[in-house]
Amino acid sequence: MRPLLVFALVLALFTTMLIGVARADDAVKPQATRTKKIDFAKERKWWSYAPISDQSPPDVNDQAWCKNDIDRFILAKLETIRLSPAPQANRVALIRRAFYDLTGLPPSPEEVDAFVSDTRPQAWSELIDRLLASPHYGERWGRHWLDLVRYADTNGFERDGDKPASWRYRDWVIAAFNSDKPYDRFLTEQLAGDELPDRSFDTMVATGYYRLGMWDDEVPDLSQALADDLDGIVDTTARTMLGMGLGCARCHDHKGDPIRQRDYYSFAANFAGLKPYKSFAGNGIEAANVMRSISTDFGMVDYPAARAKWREKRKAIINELLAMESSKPDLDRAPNNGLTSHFAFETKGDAPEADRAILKDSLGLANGKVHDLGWGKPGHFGLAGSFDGGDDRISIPSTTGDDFTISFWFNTDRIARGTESDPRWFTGSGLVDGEIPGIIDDFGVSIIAGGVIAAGVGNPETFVHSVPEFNDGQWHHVAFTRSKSSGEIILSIDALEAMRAIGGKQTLKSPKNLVIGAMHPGGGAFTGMIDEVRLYDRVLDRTEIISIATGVGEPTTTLASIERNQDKDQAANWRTAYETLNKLEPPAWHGTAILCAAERDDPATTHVLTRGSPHAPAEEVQHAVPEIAQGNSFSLGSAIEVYASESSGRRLALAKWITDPRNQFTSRVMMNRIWQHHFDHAICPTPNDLGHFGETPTHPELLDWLAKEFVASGWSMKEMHRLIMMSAAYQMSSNATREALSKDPANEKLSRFRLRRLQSEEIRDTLLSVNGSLNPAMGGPGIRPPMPDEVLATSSKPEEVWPLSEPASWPRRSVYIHAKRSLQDPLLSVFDQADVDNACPVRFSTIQPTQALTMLNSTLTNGQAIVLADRLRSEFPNDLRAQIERALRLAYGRKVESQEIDEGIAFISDLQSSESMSESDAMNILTLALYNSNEFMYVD
Amino acid sequence: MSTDQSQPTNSFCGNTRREFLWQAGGAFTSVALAGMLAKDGFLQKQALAFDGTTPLPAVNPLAAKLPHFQGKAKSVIFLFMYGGPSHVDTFDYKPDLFKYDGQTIQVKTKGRGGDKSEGRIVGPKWNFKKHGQSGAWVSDLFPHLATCVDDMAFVKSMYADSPIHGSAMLMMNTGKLLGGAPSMGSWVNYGLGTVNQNLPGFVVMLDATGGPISGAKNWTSGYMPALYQGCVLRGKGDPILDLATPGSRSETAQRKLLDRLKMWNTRHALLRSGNADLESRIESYELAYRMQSTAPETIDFTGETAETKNLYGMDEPQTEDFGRKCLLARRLVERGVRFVQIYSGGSHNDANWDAHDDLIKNHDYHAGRTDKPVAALLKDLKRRGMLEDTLVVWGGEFGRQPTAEYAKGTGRDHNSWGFTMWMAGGGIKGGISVGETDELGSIGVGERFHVKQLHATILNQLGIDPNALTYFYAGLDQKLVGVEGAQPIRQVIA
Repeated sequence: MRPLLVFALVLALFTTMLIGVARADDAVKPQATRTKKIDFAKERKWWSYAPISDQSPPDVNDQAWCKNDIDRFILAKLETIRLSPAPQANRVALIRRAFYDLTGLPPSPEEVDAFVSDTRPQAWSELIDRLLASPHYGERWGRHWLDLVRYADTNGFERDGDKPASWRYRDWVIAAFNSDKPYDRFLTEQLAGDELPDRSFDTMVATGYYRLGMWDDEVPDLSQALADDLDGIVDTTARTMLGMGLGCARCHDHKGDPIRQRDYYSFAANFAGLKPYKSFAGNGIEAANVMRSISTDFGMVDYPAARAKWREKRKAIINELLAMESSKPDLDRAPNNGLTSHFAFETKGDAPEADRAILKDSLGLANGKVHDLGWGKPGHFGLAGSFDGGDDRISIPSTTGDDFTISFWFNTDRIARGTESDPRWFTGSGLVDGEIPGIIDDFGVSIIAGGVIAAGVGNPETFVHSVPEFNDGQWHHVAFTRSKSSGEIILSIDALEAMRAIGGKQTLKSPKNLVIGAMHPGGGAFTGMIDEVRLYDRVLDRTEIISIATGVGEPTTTLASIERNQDKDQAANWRTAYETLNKLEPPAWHGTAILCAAERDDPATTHVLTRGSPHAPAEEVQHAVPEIAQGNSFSLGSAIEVYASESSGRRLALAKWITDPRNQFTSRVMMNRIWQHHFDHAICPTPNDLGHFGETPTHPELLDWLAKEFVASGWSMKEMHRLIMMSAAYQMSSNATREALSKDPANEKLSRFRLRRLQSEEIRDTLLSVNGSLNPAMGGPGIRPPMPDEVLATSSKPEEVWPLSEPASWPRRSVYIHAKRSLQDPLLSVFDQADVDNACPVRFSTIQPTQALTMLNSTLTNGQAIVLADRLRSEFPNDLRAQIERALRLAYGRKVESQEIDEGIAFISDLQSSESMSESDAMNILTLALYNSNEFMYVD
Repeated sequence: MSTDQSQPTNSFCGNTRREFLWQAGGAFTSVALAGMLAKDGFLQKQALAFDGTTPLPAVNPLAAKLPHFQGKAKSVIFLFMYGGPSHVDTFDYKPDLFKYDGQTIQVKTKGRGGDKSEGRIVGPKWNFKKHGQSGAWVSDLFPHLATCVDDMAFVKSMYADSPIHGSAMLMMNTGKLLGGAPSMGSWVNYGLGTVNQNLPGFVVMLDATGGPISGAKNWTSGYMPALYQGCVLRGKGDPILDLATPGSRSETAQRKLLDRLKMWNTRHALLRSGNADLESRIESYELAYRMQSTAPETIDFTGETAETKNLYGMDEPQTEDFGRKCLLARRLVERGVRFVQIYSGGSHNDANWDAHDDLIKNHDYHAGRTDKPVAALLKDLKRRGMLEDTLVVWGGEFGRQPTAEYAKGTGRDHNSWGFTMWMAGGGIKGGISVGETDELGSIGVGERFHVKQLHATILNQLGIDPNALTYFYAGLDQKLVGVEGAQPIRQVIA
């Protein structure tokens, strides 16, 4: 028996160990990192690791073909295979090509005609200049950048909450392209806009770059989630700016490139100072870590400092008042007159279950019903209720009258639901709320995004809100009053009026119950604490609200009392101080809360993580750049002492290294991308990986030459567009001769231009553009145009996932559509829109039957086809011939043959006779067919 | 890990060429069979145009492809019990739990409510009985399924990496805790294509209350092209978004439109030699037109007998909805669809199996709606001889804890340390059970099976080596089962 027993014990022990490991769901043990031997001297000869070479444009035989030096590089290769470049494209093809490449929109027929008839030599360069000056240029080229950095407007996972003000980063990118911000500065602002000596509101917005990842607000494993978020930053930075597959070295040395695991972690250390999106395991995103309230005149007025100073001063006056009155600051001086409910949250966490199922009304009138709640947390007075952002909420009877005051304290440090730029209370996380869907006689108070307190009444919808700063982890008092006779609503925070508005004068009787800690009926949960909820059936006045929020007594009785107990001088002093308090204006708010970089005081130490596991840290590493990238005549400087010493300066040092003109990656990588988006094919066809796993560049000498030109131009992207577009290579026809197909089958020698299908955004924007409905408004919060019900039904919250933006915004450009991770626009996604969860260096260009179904049958395309037909009918009433000619011209740009018009007329009359259709119904089908045609969908 | 010091070459396992094909984009045809040649001879040679890189227009990336080896299953029907059904109230019989009902005892758990080391045991709320020749334990929640146990293989020591819906859903569907990876249906579509070009190869049916958390992320193709993503199919009305010609336009008018379009496009292509995409796009409209007539036929049940419809419970309000979906799944599989996923439950909280408050009410509701239809699906497949090559998978993203979540009530929190899933058909052994949880059902003990192993099993049954089905993305040969790989659950394979 004995051996068996021992065996059983060992087995039990072993099982326990296994389970123990399994419980942590992490079997990795830290190990000293083994590392592969790399011959760096040899590796630095690899084309993308080598310094950028000086290249002279090669000699060619056919000098006459060359319009600039680019052509000599192209032609030299073609001459080696004795192939002539394709002839110049016709002028219609050229203007369409230039328009789509630079703006993503088609030229109008008038623009086509003007260009075709303008045979002056400078017509082409003037066209390029005009398009580069168009604000649509930034919308097109900004989109390419947004694909690379994984731009999205939401966080993903269960709640897929909005990233507050993420759109400011998108607008910054678009504006940067439009202003031809030098590329070195463009990168520097994104990497270290908060560390720059000349930082501004805009450079702070640029650091939103760090906040675009997937954020799990309810993580199964916090350290894993944060490591994943950091990995997104590390890998995106290395691939986007350096064309380096550094992310492959997260778990082990790179299998193809001279990049070691420690290179990954030492590069990651550059970002180790960034505050993570959360630092706790519970629900929510930590607002203070990823957002800052910043004045738009940043650099002129330090708003946070001014606000802090004002708060201090105010606090001093309040203390002075309390001292004179001999009152205690922790005295709850809420008036009882008109009080209809009072919930003090004094139940302890270990109270009997029955006591915790109700929220006791101190007046003994109407208890609340607790769905779930964290009891017994230290509150503003006594204990408070703690809400977890999940199912925690309390239903209380609505005891308010037509006149009312809702008064309570709250404390949170999280980002709430909704967006700061849309402060309608029912879009937020409920504090004390009676929202009922629809335009109805309801009301409520909530917190939105980065600490906006919002309140409002329904029918007519009337809203008031505060500045965005009340998620600072402090207790704040809210008073929301409504008067039936005047319809006026006033929101006060900490006894200071935030905003007032006039709403309806009807009876606000709809909500029978109010919800504490969530948006009625069951959405928008609050994370944080709430205390001392009071409902009144009258409008409390300013002095009463001051009493509740500060403990300072009501003036008449307080003065009488001081006079009675003390002396007249003291009363006069009190009166003066009270008036000062009332007059003390907060500093003017010109700013907003933005998503941006913020560092903790001391950057965390960085370790190599064994097999990439955050639970298995191995040796510590210092911030550095990958060793293969060292050994240049320049190196990563030490961390730079930065403005206000509020961050480590590592990112600014990194930005300086990345943008050093001698850096062999930065200019090459970006020139490769610029080339890619002109020729629909990059010189190195894997633009995010120029290493050994990438493709061989077709024209490496040209790429080096372009990279040097780029730096020499002062990193001007617009100069590079001009340079490329002025070449003969760019102006070639996309037609392939039989000879070209046999000698240069894959067009790797660039013997012709590449015909390309419009990208998803271009398709939608062109539909809107040719029928005249495109709204060119730029910037601002993401738009939400109508979405088919079938798509909404795929959401876990079909009713609330996609609140439509105002109709005028629907026909805006696609780059402005709210990028929600869990909901895909059917047209954009079927045409290979970039997936927001992954960096997308090259879009797919698939052809599939579901695209045809979308173009033929969707509400969007059919609706827009009718808009186009309507436009034709109004421009050329009762002139079918002119309507058809115009339709073809709008869709194709070119002049049309009369035979084509005849065919169109025949098509329409056939539908009229065989289908008994009206002429206008038949025209609607013709315009839809045009939207489906290859000539519409492809650029020559 | 590799310490390979050999000189790097520029065609690492030939992958870069494939990535080039993907990224260069070309037509859908050029993405066709690229990227998955992890085994020689896996694929038919792709037909290329004379230029050597442009694929011939008629080749479809979803064309049926040869598997790695002869698999037992041709199709998969994944019945996703969204929200996480309680294993200890359904198939994982734990007599001790009845005994400890109401007692607070020491037991480690991790769920939505965080880590806990003790809790109040909630005894199972349904009685268990042994069923079938195999004597499998099934609770009274599933009287109909209980009659099928001899065809089912239970895996009772499943575990997952997350006890939180958001990340756990992504894990069950894509193998990763983060969004952006292709779902298993996409992998299957990518690996095998579809034998019916007129129907999508990967079909998803959702609950009437809404989709699951993260919506489309659960059937996305992630970093693969969108043509591999799941297609949401509805059992009523227009089955696929934009499949139907708008009501105002007749069939003949649609055909005239297509003919006109074809004429324009053909003329356009003639002037642009050497651009195969243009031909492909012309062809895609003919494929679309055929889909328009095929898909509605699939959802038309007029050819089904009353006996069949009643078997699925379509004659009872409670089971009509899920019964319709199960019958539709059989019809889809009959027509060659590779991967069908049906969600039981949608939206949030009690609209799915997420029984935090009232376990009895929740599970009675969801089991009541699905038990009969699911049993009917197994029986119907079997009597038609389809069960042997159709793999049916049942389960949620995790199970539930043996203890109560709140101070009162029967609700259980999430449990990813141990839970039950079952499979049937498609070369899976019937009447067996592998793996077990501890005496409380709180955690798998002995041999435990990770979600990735379930994925590996599904791929294996389809004839795909799970560790060889790869897609080159971001410098890695990505796999559904993760770069480190996973083995199928051999014990359940016939």
